[in-house]
Amino acid sequence: MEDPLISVIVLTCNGREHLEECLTALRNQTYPRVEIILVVNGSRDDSARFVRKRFGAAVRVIELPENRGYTGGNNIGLKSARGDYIAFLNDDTRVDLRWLEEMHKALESKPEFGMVACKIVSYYDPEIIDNVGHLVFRDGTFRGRGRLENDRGQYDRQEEVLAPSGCAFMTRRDILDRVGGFDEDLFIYGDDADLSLRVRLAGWKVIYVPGALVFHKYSATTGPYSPFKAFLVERNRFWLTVKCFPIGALLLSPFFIFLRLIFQAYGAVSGRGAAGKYCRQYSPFSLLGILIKANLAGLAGLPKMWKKRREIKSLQEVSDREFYRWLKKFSLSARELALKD
Amino acid sequence: MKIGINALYLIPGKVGGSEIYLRHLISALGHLDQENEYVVFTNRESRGSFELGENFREHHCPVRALIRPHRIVWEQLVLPYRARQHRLDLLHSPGSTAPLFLSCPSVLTILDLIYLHFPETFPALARIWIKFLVYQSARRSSAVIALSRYSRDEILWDLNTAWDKVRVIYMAISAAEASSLPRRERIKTLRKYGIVFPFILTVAAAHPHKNLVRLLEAFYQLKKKGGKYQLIVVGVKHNRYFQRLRREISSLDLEEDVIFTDWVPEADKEMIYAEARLMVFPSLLEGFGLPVLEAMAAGLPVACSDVPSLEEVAGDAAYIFNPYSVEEIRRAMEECLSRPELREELVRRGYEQAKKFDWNKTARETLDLYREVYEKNRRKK
Repeated sequence: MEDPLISVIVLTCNGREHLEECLTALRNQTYPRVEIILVVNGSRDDSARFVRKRFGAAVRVIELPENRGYTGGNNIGLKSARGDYIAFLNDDTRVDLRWLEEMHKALESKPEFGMVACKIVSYYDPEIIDNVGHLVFRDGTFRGRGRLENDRGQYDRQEEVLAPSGCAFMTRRDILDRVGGFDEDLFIYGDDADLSLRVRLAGWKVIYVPGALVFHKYSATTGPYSPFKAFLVERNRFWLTVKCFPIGALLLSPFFIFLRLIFQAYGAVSGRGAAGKYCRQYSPFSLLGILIKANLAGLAGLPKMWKKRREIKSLQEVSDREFYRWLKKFSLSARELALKD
Repeated sequence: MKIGINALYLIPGKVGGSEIYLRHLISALGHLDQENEYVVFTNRESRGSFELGENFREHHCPVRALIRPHRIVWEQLVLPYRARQHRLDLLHSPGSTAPLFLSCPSVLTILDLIYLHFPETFPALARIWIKFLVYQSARRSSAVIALSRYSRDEILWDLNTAWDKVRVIYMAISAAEASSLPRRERIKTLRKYGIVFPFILTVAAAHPHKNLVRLLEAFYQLKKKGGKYQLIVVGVKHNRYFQRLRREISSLDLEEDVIFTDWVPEADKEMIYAEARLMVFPSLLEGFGLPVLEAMAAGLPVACSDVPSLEEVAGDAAYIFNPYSVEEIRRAMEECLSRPELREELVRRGYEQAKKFDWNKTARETLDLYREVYEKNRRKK
């Protein structure tokens, strides 16, 4: 029997310098049947031309006139994909040659496994961990685990995690058909968390596979904290809770938002955490302003998001109790969230 | 053999290079082949517009190709029946889609896979249909004709087609008939289109992959540096993307200098080619790239992009540039307009290059393919 086809979708926006290494690693995978799709998300550089010359038709290049965000770009790539398994990858990476093989093996091992999270380490110093799955805070903020830790083998066991990082993960086509692709209203940030929660709510599990190794250059394209990023992170957090959280957790979340804000204020003052980094460049009052604007924008989108919530609930196979168990098991403390880098 | 040709997709003046392909193919097949019988299935718009040889017959179908769903449904449901009525030995569909259920073998020409690489060229609903139909048509055809080696690679990878099913048969140009009208007449005709100055020509429909935005920016740079030229764009316009181009033109204040002529009749086109100073073709992706050859045959120096299929067509007879760099496009135009030795060299090489492509050859290779498919099918029975 033939191996099932795996489609890999890579998004790039003005990232020509990364593409040779990224795509070569995909061309050299040990897994035999691979389809590589590169979505050029509104680049001004000649990434498309470079890839066509270098890889010919072996990499399918899709050119979009404008940046459609992480969500729009990936969804377009998804429409073009023919594989039974779909992997998503950032362009500023190099994957291990057994990346697809390892993820595929994990997904095949149990039917309830719906998504695979990878071991993402720093490209520049592979002893430093970038992300090994996400943790969640009760206000809906997701944060990667293991960030900037030294790799002492503490994440070398295959285990269940809440969600993968959108930087590199794999899922199945039929699962995406069921829960829908990325939510394009989110545009960027939190979209991977949103998709993962929907997959989990529909009954599948997310498994972390340490053998699926990815070297990530990190913040090469996302950049430092900017007003734009802060706005979207906050607004999307709100929408995520509206869409996916059980009603109890949703109603409680303002308390946790408040708790986080206290820690972030402390972080802004003492120069620690994301708030601290932000305030090095911009005024702390502007941060507060942005948080308020973001929540207002979030409220403005409430009717639409509520409708999406109903759709998600209709597909929900897990109990709310189970959801609370996740919040507890995969939790992040407010202190860690606000003050850790 | 009795061969059917499915010309249902052809809307005269609206489908660009594929019209030239079909008309010349039919005409060349007529000159080459007097023994086989041909039936050309036409629609309302193209009725009676083909020059057909003695052994050719037209079967007029009451379909309006402009109403695409109507044409698609007719092509899928009624055409197979007509094909059987004529007892066709094979049906060639040169418009990227073919009837999926045919009682005779199908030969399909896939013009390009732009819908896969520049999805936003088409509205979302159309995209779904096109993808499905082209993929299935390729699967069910006995042979697929690609217009360039690169296009063949794309078909193999993107449509997952068996490698021995896809054949490359290049298009060609007809020997340029030097416009017989005196120069004065030619200029009068051009003035009709608003062409008054020496001009740079590009032949491109208003689609994203034709890269007209960067061309406009490069042209603007050229104008700033003192070039006194018009930019004439010959090609289908009046779609959504055209509005984008209009905005670009007005923001660069080029309304006086850039003229979109829309599709022009063959005779006028020859005159435009005869009077142009340069052909620039900055396309990002092409199935073949016919305008490049047309320009070479007409004695124009050609500057074109370095995308894989254009390299096959232009060889080393064109000034090549990186189409993603506005600066390179500008420099290409500047050099080709201002350096006489370069121009002479390009024109000379262009003539040689154009000679390599010949409709007779295209027709012969196509006919050979028809025979192969016919024989293989007969043996299977």
